[in-house]
Amino acid sequence: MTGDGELRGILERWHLWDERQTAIASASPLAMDGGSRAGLTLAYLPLFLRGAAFTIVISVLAMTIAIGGGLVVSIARRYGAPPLQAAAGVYVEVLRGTPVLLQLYVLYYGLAPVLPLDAFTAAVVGLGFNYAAYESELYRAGLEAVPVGQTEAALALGMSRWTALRRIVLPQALRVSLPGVANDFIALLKDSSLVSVITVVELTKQMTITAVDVRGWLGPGLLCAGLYLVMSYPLSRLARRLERRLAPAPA
Amino acid sequence: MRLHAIAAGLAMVTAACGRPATDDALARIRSRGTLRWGGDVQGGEPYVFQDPDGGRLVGFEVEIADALARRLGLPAEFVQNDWQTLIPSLERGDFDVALNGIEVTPARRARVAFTRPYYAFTETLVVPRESGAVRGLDDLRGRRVGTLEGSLALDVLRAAPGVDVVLYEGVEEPYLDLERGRLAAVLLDNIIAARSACPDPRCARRRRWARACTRSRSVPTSRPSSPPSTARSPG
Repeated sequence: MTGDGELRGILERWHLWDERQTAIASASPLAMDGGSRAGLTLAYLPLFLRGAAFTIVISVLAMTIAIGGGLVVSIARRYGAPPLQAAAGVYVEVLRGTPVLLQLYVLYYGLAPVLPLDAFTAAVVGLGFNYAAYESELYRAGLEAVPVGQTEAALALGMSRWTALRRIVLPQALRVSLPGVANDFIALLKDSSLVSVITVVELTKQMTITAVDVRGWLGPGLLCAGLYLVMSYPLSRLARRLERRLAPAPA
Repeated sequence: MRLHAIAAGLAMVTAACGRPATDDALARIRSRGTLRWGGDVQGGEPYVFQDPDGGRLVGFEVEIADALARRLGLPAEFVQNDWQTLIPSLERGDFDVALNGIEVTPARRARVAFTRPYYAFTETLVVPRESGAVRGLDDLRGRRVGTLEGSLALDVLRAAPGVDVVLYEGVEEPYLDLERGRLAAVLLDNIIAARSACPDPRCARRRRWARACTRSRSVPTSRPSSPPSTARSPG
């Protein structure tokens, strides 16, 4: 192709031909040179731990937003004025009904002209707002599980609606939701790997970078998986304990 | 003048055993009846991209793959694969040839065989036009410089002391962030720099980049392995 000018023809058609390209006419194919295969060594561990720390920080901050935001959304959806209810409903459906990956792209690149967030903030806010939609559904289930009589009794005792919600309904509703929230935290921990598309280097991204450097995916993959398990297993235990403790006592 | 060259990686199924695999691979390709080649459409123009009219794949690498296949008397079959994992997928045997702006580096030469290079390129550093003091990577200590994960430009940036490297998975995003002021500079191959940061005026489809272009300029990188680039922003 180099000899008969076909390559040059293709490059010229794409306006890629320049004088530098004459250099490749004399170049030859390159066989594998063997070379030394770099291995996964302990030297990579601090990098992985740093990635894991980023994963934890992003997840904790995002979950904080999700827990608070979800509460606001679920209360707006149940007790708000009709327009507020509708808005909360749309929020939940849109954020649950579209991929979080897409939401991160739109938040970081798409909205950049009007909302110039740095990558870390966009990651926390994007994940937090997405999970807020899921948390609000958990709270909604919790709120619905509290018998109407509880509210009626509180109102009959002279409490305002807000006091009744805050002191009587919410404490019971949140108990019902708590195991679900703990489970969602585990899911968020793993979903946080998606923020690498907006340039945040967390644990999974560190794994792919290292995999390229050491030319192997198995070692870095296992190390990465191990660190995720170390982080999620305690949460998993916590979720199960909460489920047991908060289960309705046998009659 | 030393130039970096893009070449296609040639599949070597028995690479791990160190046996010469070229004949085996050719026999396998012939018995299957197609030349499967791997690339990433997200890499975009002018490498491999979808023609807006009809979605057909076009690009100079599509034409090179077709020409290669024609010489073998076979049709070429494109296999989509993330750019960052082209070499592992090639080793797995997902396709016969990886042909998508793969730069010849020592690390890759240890894993696959390369064909004769089909394109010679340089690394181009693009900075906002107002940062007039930036003459090379030495001026970017402590600043955020974007590039593509797994690229030769990343190797160059890692060797530059003090540069805060920001990794992207697509070629458009770093230039978007440069335009938004999230980056101080972007280092990538000159084709990408020329097309993404400063469109070829002959390419009318990319006119939306005109605004970015009036704000950015390219500077030659100071590393000896990256000779001054001939790519220049308009203005």
